[in-house]
Amino acid sequence: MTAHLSTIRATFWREVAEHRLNRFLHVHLALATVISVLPLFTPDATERSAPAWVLQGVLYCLSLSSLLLGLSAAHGDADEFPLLFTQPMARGAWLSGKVMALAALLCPASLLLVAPTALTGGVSGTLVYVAAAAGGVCLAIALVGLAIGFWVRDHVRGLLLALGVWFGLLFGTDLVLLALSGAPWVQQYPTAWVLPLMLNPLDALRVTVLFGLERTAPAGIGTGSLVGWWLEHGGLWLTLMLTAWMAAGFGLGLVGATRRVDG
Amino acid sequence: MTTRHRVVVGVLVIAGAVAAVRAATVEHSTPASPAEQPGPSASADSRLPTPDSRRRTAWLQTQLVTAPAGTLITVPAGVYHGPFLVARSLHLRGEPGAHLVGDGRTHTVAVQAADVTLEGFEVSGSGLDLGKDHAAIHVTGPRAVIAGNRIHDALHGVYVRQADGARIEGNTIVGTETTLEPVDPMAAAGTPSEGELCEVSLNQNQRGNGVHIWNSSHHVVARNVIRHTRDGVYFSFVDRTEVRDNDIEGVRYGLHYMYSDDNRFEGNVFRDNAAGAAIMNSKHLVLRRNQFLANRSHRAYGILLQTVDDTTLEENRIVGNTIGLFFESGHGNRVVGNTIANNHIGIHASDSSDGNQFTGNNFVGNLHTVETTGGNLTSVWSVDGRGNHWSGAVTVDLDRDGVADLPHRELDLFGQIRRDLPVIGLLAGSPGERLLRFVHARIALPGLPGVTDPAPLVHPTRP
Repeated sequence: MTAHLSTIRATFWREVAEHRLNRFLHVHLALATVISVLPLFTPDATERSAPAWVLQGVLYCLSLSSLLLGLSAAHGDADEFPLLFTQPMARGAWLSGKVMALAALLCPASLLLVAPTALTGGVSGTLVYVAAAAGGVCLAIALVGLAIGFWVRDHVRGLLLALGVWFGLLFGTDLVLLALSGAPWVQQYPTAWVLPLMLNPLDALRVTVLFGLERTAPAGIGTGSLVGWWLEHGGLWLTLMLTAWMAAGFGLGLVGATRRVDG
Repeated sequence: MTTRHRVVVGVLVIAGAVAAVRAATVEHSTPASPAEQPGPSASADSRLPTPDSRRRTAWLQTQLVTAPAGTLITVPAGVYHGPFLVARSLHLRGEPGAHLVGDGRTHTVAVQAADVTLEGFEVSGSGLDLGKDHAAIHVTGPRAVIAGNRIHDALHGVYVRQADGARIEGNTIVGTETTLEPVDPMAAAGTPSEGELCEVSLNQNQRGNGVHIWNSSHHVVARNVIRHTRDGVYFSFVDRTEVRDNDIEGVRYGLHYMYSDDNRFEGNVFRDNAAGAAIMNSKHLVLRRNQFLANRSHRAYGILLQTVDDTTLEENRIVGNTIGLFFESGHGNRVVGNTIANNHIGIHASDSSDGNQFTGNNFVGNLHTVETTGGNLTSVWSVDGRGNHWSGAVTVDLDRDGVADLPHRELDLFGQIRRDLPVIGLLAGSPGERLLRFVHARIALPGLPGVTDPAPLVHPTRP
């Protein structure tokens, strides 16, 4: 147990030290800073506009930088795998250290997203909620990047796959669902149509902030029992779903990391 | 206070009451001196009559019955227990602190005579029977002036019934959100004591309206502040009326309106209601410079227009609502220079609407700008070469005349599918939908519903 903790601690600090020079982290923090000050340009509605800015920022910018940050975290050690994995340490503990380091970097960045608004207008439940949701989504996406990096160790291929996954999450789900929406069998089973939206972290974040938090959805949308439940309990669903994504990312990353180094 | 003092005060009070009655018989009498008038209320609980309030009430009731038409009656501070019937053309002016309290069974003040003015009072305690239209101030006489009153704990605030020419100005009307009911209705006999009552919340449908006007014309409803009633202003069969500068918040419909023609609404603010304005079955209206803000819920509208014809909506701000502007069966309306911004759906135009003109409007930051249910073939989106401003539109303006050189196609991607698959609305504002909209604005994708503005404006117009 002590050995595991030592591994986690050592990996954690090594990862943090390495990321100090990581350009993806710099970009991520710079984007978060820019997004955080945008609500201040609408002084009469700073607190109201902050969730919208954070949502757009996470969807179009921070999700990508988080993904690339996770990818680079995996690729950064790729050259050292032959050496690293000859050491007497559990790979689960090693991966846990890396994940904790990513969390330690991304979560403060999500607080940064709402910090100017909170400083000027006071901390509100909505801001805390939005910051937590943004941090959760960024971390989950970063773990996806980490898993991709362990499975595809070639840097260029890994980057292309990561970009493909990001496009798929951001646009692909919506476009596929739009394309399917006219089909009679889809209209018979709207719950099946909604499930991909619920399971996509970016769509789930968007729906939770736009429809759940601001409660602006027109009446017809929430008539189905599943959608009604989702809109009513968006935060709970987002927490559960992101936890599942993180667990899946961690598991896939672990399996990827244990593959043969020369494979 | 010694016995001698009590006797002196008693004599003064009686003398004051007598003098006041005599003074009120003089037309346009000036307010009597304080010594001649009933004293201010000593009671904190206005529900319970005290000897003082009984005396004051008797004085006021006498005035209402005996004062000749046209008399100005200045009512000093204090609680007066009604109900009160105004059957003569009187001008009742409440001094600060004058409080008219109903008996909880009927209207607090019933105005039956013509040309009655009621101003400056606090009015409360009407009955709560919706079937009997109980109101704090119930008007059935023409040309009543209801001004500067503060109304609370009543069903309807001001109810005008078949009486023309009322002026309802500068009142503050707060709806009744809770009522006291017996803990055990079966056990409570007669009037229950305070301990036998519990506070019960009234849902919005059980409350009355702020201002309710029925079957009459030529009114002015202005500068009223209305909160937490059922509807803010309710019109039914009311023509040639002006509604301006009212501030309505936290109600069901800010303006609930039907079968009423030739009316003007200007400078009103409708905020945080279930719907800003629901206007139905009416024509020849003007809605100008009103604000419909943050009317949000699953069934909320900024403005709902149903079967409304030949109406002008000009320079209104419709911001942050679930559906900004909802058109159904509207014909020949002009929507000019409005700002429709940050709504979930900017404008819903059903295929049963035709011949409407949209020009000079600013569509900014709506999640889903235009929702259509059909072709809307006869509605036009530009007049005299000027269309509307659409945020995010491609605007090439080589001749710099402020009108883009290319038409703007506003896509309604969901179209008819919305009826068969309502959950498709969850994709409103999604990256995928925005991507398609971006592409469609540059290359017309065939077969997609939407509207085309042939002359989009490069810059927003100023309301």
